[in-house]
Amino acid sequence: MKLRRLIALISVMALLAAACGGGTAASSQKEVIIGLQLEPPTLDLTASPAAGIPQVLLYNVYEGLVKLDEAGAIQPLLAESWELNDDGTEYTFSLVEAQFHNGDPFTADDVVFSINNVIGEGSEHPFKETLASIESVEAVDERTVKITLSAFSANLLFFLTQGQGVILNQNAIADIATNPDGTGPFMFDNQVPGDSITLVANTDYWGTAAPLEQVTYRYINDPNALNNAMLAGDIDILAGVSAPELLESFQDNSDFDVYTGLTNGEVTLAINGANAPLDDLRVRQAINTAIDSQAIIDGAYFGYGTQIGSHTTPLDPYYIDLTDVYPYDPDEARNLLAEAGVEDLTLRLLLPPVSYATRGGEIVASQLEDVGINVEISNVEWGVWLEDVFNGDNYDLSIVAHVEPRDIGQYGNPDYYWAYDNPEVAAMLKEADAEPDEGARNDIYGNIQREITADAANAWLFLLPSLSVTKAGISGYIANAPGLSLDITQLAFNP
Amino acid sequence: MALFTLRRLAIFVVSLWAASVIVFALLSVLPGDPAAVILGTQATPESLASLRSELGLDRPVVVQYLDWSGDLLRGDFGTSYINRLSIGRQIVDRLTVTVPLALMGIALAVLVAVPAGVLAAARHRKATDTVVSTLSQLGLAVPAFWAGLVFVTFLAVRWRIFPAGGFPGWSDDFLGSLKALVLPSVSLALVQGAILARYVRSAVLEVMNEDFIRTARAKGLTRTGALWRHGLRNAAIPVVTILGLQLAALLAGTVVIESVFVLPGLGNLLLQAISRRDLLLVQGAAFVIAAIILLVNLIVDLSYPLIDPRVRRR
Repeated sequence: MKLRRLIALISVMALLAAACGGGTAASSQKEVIIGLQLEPPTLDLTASPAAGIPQVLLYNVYEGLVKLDEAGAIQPLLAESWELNDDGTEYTFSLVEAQFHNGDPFTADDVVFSINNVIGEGSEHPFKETLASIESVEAVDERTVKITLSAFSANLLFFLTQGQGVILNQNAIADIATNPDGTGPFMFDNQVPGDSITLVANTDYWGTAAPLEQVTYRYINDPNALNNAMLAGDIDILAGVSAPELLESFQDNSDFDVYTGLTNGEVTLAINGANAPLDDLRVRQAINTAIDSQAIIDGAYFGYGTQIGSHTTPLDPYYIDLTDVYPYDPDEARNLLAEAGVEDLTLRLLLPPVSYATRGGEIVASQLEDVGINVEISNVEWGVWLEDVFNGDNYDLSIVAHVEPRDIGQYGNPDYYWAYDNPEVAAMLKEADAEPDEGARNDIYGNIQREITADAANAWLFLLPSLSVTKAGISGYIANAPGLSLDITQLAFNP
Repeated sequence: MALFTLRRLAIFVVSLWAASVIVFALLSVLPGDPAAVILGTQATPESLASLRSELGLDRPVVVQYLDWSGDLLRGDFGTSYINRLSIGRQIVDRLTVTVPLALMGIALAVLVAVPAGVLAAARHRKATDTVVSTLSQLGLAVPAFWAGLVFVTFLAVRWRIFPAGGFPGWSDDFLGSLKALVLPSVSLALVQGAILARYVRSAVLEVMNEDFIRTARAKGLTRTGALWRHGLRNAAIPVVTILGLQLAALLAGTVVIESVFVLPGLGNLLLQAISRRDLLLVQGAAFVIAAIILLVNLIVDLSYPLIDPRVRRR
């Protein structure tokens, strides 16, 4: 029969195609393919705040004066040492000897150029504000740089470990969006938009060379497809699992290692304090007590995730545990609402298109309805979320992960989208940032956390975990994500 | 014939212009300020204003349209504000995935569906007919993405015959690229083939009931002989129409399959550009998709007189 012949023909064709290809994953033990979800929209990290850019480039291709280690502590990188003067207004950095990927030497002038590129007049750097405490930067000699501050800022060194602190090659700046040039152990090789970015080892690296020769980042937007690519052996590392329900397929399998680490992503139920009756402390406290965050972790993130009680994480040096301030107590929530004289309250919950928000939002809504608050859920797209929630105040509640590290400073900004206005907290934040002594500083930050939690500024649902899977035999993978870099400089295949 | 061609070409040009207006108008009413999406949570009022003026969003809509369509006429799609890459170049790169994928899908569908449909019609109300009808019913019921997921689960994850997704690029690895398109095109062909088989079957059955077939039979031709000499060519017109629609749908609508198999195709590009509010890129890609559909329709229209001489006189 013709039909049967045709089917046979197709099967033969498929088999032929199968036979033509070889193995799919990296064959050499010096090459690794990393699967990621969000492709960077551009490679120019001076033009876009997208987290996908530093994820690939920071510490691997670009280096700053300092870097953040796995535990969130600051370590030397292009600056081998630094000194702070007595009144805390002058940093003097001693630089290492290094060169850019195109062969240009790295000098103090490059540091001056790179920092001025962020803070200079007319700069549209997305993180310009974070370096605002820098008044000027000058090259003392080829290996020494002096940064003068208008006033001491404790967070400055931290920000210099991130994308805004990287040292750029001023001669290669024109090609920054297509061919980033830095001093790091990996060089940019090529990009296939929509598919992959490849880095190769820098054989002239000034420090200890990275064990790997080539790293390819493959971008797979769909969590299921990402999972399948890992199971099929197409990729060696699955970094940043966004669908925790899929982790199960790797959990009890000796071919894979599963990593669960900490991030800076506080999943926050943002409360619009400008809207009545949410301006009433008792109503906000009622919302906090009505929420059972463990149920949200279990339901929205399959039990992965850590409870937090304020807008800080264990990766912050000043973190204190405040998870016991609002224990889950629906009766107490009802009492608080009655005390505030609130009846028939209906709140609008706007959810951006991320699974922790859409799933978590359903659970939050049912927990709030349990204590008598009606919740209208709207699932919106990012553009609408930015317009209605972040840049407008056209919402009552929203859920989003605040992934920026050390972002507690937003509670000092009454214009921020949750409209939290407590002058005392704003003053304490300024005081903490200006305090050079670490112990004293951490004490102030402790008080700030207690204060914003007592004010029930928001409800902090949980800390987003950093979930990753690697093939068994890969070492040097960093489970925690204290900053925005996915640091691959220690990654290796064990024999 | 010349008049027919000319008229079709005129319709094509006018439709193309209408498409450009519609694409532009739809995008300007899309909610969400592109500048705000690009700058995200780090935006300040100053940076928003300066980006809006850089994007040209502060100009009147009519001026924006004339500017864009003028460049388009010169074949210049502009440069993306997000990744600073040439938009025309990006679209062409993605078409090198989507066009072969759609063509492979449609070719597989034709290879299976046309013989199957003709066979079913020739053996009307016999076992073969029932088998073909049932199989095509089944193919219609299975969504392409689901078939794709099943293929991935078994052929890629379990048996590792095919990659689970991705596309190595034609110039880097030609056979690997071909292999990467096998499962997605089979998934597409399943549904399209099922639809096509049903159309072929009913088109042939309809033709077989026409008077000229009865005349042919009366002249002494067997049923199969009449089908071959007079039936097939007459049944071809509705089938070609459907084929054109299917090809257009595949070229524009492989988004889901591209996402299941992680292929850097045009649908994927469009989806990504929308989420990043890369307005110019969305405009360019949507316009190209519209142009492709119009072009396929034009080709289908122009093929009618070749298949059926009677059309030439209309």
